[in-house]
Amino acid sequence: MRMTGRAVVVPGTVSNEELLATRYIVEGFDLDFYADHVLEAVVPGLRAQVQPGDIIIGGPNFCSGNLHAHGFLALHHLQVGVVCESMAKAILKLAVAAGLPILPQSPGAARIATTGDQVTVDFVSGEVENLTKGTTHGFEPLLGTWRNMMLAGGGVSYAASRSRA
Amino acid sequence: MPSLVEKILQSKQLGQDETGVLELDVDYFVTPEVSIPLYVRQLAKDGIESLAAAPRTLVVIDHEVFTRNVMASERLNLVRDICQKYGFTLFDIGRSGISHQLMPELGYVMPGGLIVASDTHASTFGAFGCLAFPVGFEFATALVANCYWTERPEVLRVNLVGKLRPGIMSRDIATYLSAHFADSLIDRVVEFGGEGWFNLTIDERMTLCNVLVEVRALTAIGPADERALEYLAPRVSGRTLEPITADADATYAQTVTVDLDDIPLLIVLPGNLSNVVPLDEALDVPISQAFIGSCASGRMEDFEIAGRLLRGKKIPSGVRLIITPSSPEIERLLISTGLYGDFTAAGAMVTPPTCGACYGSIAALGSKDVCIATATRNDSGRMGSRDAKIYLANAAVVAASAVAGRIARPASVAASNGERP
Repeated sequence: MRMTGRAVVVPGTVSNEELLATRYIVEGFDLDFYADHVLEAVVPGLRAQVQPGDIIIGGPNFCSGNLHAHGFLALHHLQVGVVCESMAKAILKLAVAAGLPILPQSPGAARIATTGDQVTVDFVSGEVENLTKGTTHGFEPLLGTWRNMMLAGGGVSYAASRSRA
Repeated sequence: MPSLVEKILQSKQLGQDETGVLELDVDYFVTPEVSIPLYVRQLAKDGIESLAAAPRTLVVIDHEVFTRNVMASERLNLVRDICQKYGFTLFDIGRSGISHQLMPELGYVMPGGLIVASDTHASTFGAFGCLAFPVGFEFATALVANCYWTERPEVLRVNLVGKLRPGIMSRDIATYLSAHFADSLIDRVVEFGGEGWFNLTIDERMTLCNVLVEVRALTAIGPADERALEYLAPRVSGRTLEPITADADATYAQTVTVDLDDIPLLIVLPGNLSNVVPLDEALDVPISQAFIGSCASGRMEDFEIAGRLLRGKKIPSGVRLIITPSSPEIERLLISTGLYGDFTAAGAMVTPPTCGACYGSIAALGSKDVCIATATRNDSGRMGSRDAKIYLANAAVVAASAVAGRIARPASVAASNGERP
């Protein structure tokens, strides 16, 4: 699973509430609505700035706090991937369940690109290539059940395929 | 040798993958209403029309209980339709409370049990020796799989010794742990033990298990003793209840000991939950709103102490006090004990059971508001405007501050009430 696109770097600590505020979660249940507001607290108007294949590069403890997957579903809906420096396991599990391509343990990731760089991410091998800067970086990819879930497009698809198998 | 957590994992284990991810049997799947349409949309995408987990799936309307417009009503009607279609058990408005309080009250939480819940603070069930995994979107995965996948979690043992000093509440223990053991809590299950745990009331244990997930603990649990079984016995329809505890020589990733005598009155400053200081460092900050409620601190221990401080007092002009019982049972207790009248006579607004005020769905804060609350979180925008400031403290501090119109010590208000502080 590889994606190539523009990097959007959101360094520092970004909370789950900043990924998508709870008030939006309770106001609507439409992925388009969530996508309109995802990460707006740190990148106003993100939706207008990203294309499928783009990569959000986050800092440490990315999206910690509430166990809300709605923001991850919104990112998946926008067909972007995530590389972040670290992420709580509980948060990672819901990002994977949402089907988001992710490299969740990528120390120093927020320094390998600046917003606007072209990057290629291989979510299976963990390799990140900054095409603009001409640098390559290796990070730890997901393994086992979590990788299978990500590759299946999310937890429900994975669970359904297992029960049909 | 197993810990309490390990005993439950062993009894619930169905399988394990090559990386050590466990497949666990689940007693109940619990979710608030706000998430279920999203989950079901995902099920529909995969053509899933029925679920083996449905008879053990409990949907609680606790977030948006006030349908403020037609769209909100349509949303709840959609939830009702979903529950009917799949055969989920629905707790509808008037019969629902905050799920983390309602489930133990209605007998769904058993010592030694395992619950997967689609809401952060389901860790509250740990007060009864039940291992509850708060999850997000994995809830939909678990429903389809009819099991729960998780890595074997590391367990942090927290031994509680000593006794709380007068005026210190279990909320202060949780705040203290959040501040002093932040790194040790991350991605671990917190397993409480020690004489201090057994000295706590059920309400106190629930608060303690509730709060730590906010600082990245996976969940929290403590042993179920006779006190826990006594609480549950009339609620579980004759099912057998047995105490469950860790073996004396159980091993843990880390063990820490906390002397309850050392814990002072604490307050969390606006911004995030790690901004913990002694209350004395935040005294006299003027407030415009106070809130006592939420799954963290909306139980009788909170309302009884608030009642002692508010009885016969008037909340000053310019300050609003919102009080929210966590369940219909607690709401009825407020009425039967006279606390409801004490609160409203003081000028408080008492709402029905709901999560609402905790996240600004009701009584939302404006940009200039300063709020002191027993709510679960205080990040920017959590209760309304991103510019509003939210302080978190125990119910006594919140009640005293509501009376004073500024952040105040409970002792100062109690003294002016002619009571012993």
